[in-house]
Amino acid sequence: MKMKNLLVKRLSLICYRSFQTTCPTFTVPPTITSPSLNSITDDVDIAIAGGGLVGSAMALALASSPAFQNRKILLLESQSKLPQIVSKTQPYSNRVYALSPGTIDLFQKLGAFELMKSIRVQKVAQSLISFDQSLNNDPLAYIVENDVIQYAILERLKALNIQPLLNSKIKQFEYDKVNQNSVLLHFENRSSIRTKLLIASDGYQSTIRELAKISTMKWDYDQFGIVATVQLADDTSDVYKRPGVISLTERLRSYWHQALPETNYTTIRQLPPVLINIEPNSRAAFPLSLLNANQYVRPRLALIGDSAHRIHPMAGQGVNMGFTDVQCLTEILESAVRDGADYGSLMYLINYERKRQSNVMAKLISIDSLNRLYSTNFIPLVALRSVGLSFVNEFPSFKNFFAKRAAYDA
Amino acid sequence: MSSRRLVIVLRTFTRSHSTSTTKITSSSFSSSVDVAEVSKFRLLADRWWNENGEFQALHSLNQLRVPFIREQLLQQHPPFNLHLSHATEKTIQTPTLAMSTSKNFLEPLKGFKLLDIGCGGGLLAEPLARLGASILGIDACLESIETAKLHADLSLTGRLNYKHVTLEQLCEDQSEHEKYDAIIASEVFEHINDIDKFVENTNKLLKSGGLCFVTTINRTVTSYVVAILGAEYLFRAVPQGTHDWNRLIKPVDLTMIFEKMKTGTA
Repeated sequence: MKMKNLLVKRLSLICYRSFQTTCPTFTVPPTITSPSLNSITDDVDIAIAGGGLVGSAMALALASSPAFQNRKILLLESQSKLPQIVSKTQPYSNRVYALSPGTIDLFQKLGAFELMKSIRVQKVAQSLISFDQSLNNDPLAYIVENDVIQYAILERLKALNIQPLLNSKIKQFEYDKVNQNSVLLHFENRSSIRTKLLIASDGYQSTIRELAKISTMKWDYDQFGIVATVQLADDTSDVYKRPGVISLTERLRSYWHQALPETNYTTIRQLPPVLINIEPNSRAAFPLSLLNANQYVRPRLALIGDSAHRIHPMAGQGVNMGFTDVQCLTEILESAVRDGADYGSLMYLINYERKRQSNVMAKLISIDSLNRLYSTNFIPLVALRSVGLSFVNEFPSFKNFFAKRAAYDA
Repeated sequence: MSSRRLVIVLRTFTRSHSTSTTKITSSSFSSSVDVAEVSKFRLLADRWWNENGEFQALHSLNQLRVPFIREQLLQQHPPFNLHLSHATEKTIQTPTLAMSTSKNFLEPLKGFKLLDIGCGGGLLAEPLARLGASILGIDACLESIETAKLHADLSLTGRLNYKHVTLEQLCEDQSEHEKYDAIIASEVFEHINDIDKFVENTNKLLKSGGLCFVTTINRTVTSYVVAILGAEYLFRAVPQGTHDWNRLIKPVDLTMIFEKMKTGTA
C-alpha cells in the first residue's frame, strides 16, 4: 500500500511538471550562436556546474560512489582559479562555516575531514550550543574556513583524477535533439560538451536556473550579514568568529545564556564575550535574502545548494543544507543505477526533489519566522517568545528534539 | 491487498525432454497475438520513451519491477563469482576480488539470459540489460521494435537484442528452446487471446527451473474504475480502448493455468 501511495504521489508531481514544461527546449536568439560554431569537445556522464563547496562536494561524492566508478564526471568552474594550498599559519579568513555533525559524517565518509583537521578546524565550544548534559557525548559541530573545506575536497578529487575545468562559463544549454539522452552545454568560449545529467550548483544567482526558466520564491530581508575576524578577551588562543548578523547573534546569545543549565558551568564565561580587536580588512557585509526554487529538477537537470535554496544565516544552516542535497542526490542517483535506469530521467530525479523540497521549505519557514519573531519589538510578541523559550528550556525532551534537529536535519 | 496490479512469479517445472520435441503444426494463424491490438500500439510506438506521455505509468512501474526481477533472479541463482570466490578464496588476490565485487555491484545480472515478451519500446529490457543481463526483446509490432532498437544505448550492444517475432514464431526455432533463465511478460497478459497457449510456449523456451515473471492488471472493480474509467476516459492518460476489462485476468486464474501446465507435462 505504501508503495502504491508513493507511486501515485510521484505521478502527480510529474504530471504537474509536464503541464508546466510543455516544451523542454530552451530557445536562444539565433544571432548569438549557431550550433555549428560550437563543436562538441567532450562527452561526459555527469557535469556539475559550479565548483564551489557544494558543487565540488557533489563531484567528490559521485566519484567516490561505486555506482559511478566507470563514469566520467566533470566539474565546471567559471572562475579562473580555486583556493590553492592553505597553510596553518596564514591569518584566519572571514569566510567560515559551521559544519553540522551530519555534514561532518559526509566528509568523514569521503575522506576529506581528516585533511581539514590536519590544516585547521575548530570545535564548536560545547557549552555554547549544548542544551543538556545527556547530549554531551553527541557528535560536535565544527567551524571550518571556506578555503580549507574547498582545498580538502579538491585534494581528494585530485586523488580520484578529477580536475575542475576552470574558466568554463555556461552560456546556454539545450536538450540534444539527435541523442535524446543528453543535454548540450555551450560555453562562452564557444566550446560545447554533451552530458547525460547536469547538476547545477552555481550559487543563488544561478544562470542555469534562469536558463531553465525555473521560477523561484524569494524575498530580501532588509538586513545585512556582517562578518569579521575578531579577537576575544577571554580566549586569545582561539581567534575565531562565526559569521552572522551581529545584533541577531547577540540576541540569540542572550537566549542561550538563559537556556543553559547553571550546573554546566565549570569555569565562568562571559556571554557574550568581550571583543578586544578586529582584524584589519576582515570586515565584510552581504545582503540577506530568502530564496527557494519552485522546482529542483527537470529532465537531466538537478539544482543543488544555493542554486536551489538560500536561507537566512542566523542558524548557520545554509551550507549544511547544500551538503544534505549532495547526500540525498547521490543516494537517489545510486538507486537509479542499481535499478539499471537512466539516472538523468525525471522518474528518479523527482524523488530527490520530493525529499529535499519539503525539508527545505520547513527549514526556510521556521528560520524566517524566527527571524520575524526576533525582529519585532511588539511587546506581546516579545513576551510570548520569552515564555516560549523558557517553556522549551523546562522540558528536556523538547530540548533534545530541537538539538537533534539542529545537528542532523540540515 | 486490494492490488490493482498483480505480480506473480511462477517457477516452472522440470519437463521431460520428450515433450519439447512436440511439433507445432499450424504456424501463422495460431498466433496468440490479436491483430487489432498490434495496430493499436503502432500508433503509440514513437512515443514510448516520453516519460510524461501515455507510457508514464510503465516508466514509473520500472521502479517496482526492475528491483523485483533483480532480487528474484539473484535469489534463484546467487552470483556466479560468489561461489568462485568461496572455493578459491585463498588463491585469489585481494585486488581481483575487489574488482569482481565492484563488477557485481554494477552488473549483478551478468550471465543471465532473459526473454522479454511484448517488450514494446524496450522500457524494461533496457534497464535489465544495463544490469548485465543478456536479453532478447520480442514484440509483434515492428514499430515498437524499431523504436526500441533506435533507443538502445551503444554501450549495451551485444547483450540487448530485439527481434520482430511473435512468441509462436520464436518457438518454432528449436535452438531457442530451453534457452532462457527467465521469461518476462510484463503488462502483456491483458493484450493476448490465448493465455493457455502463451504459457505453454513460454514453458518450452525456459530452462528447467527457470522463472516466469508476469505483471498484469487484476480484474477487479477497482481496476475497472482506475485503469479504464479513470485512466482512459476521465484523465485520458492513455488512449481509449487500451485495455479491455474482460481480457484482464485474476491472479487465481493465472496460477491455475500455470498449475494446469505443470500437471499436464510433468
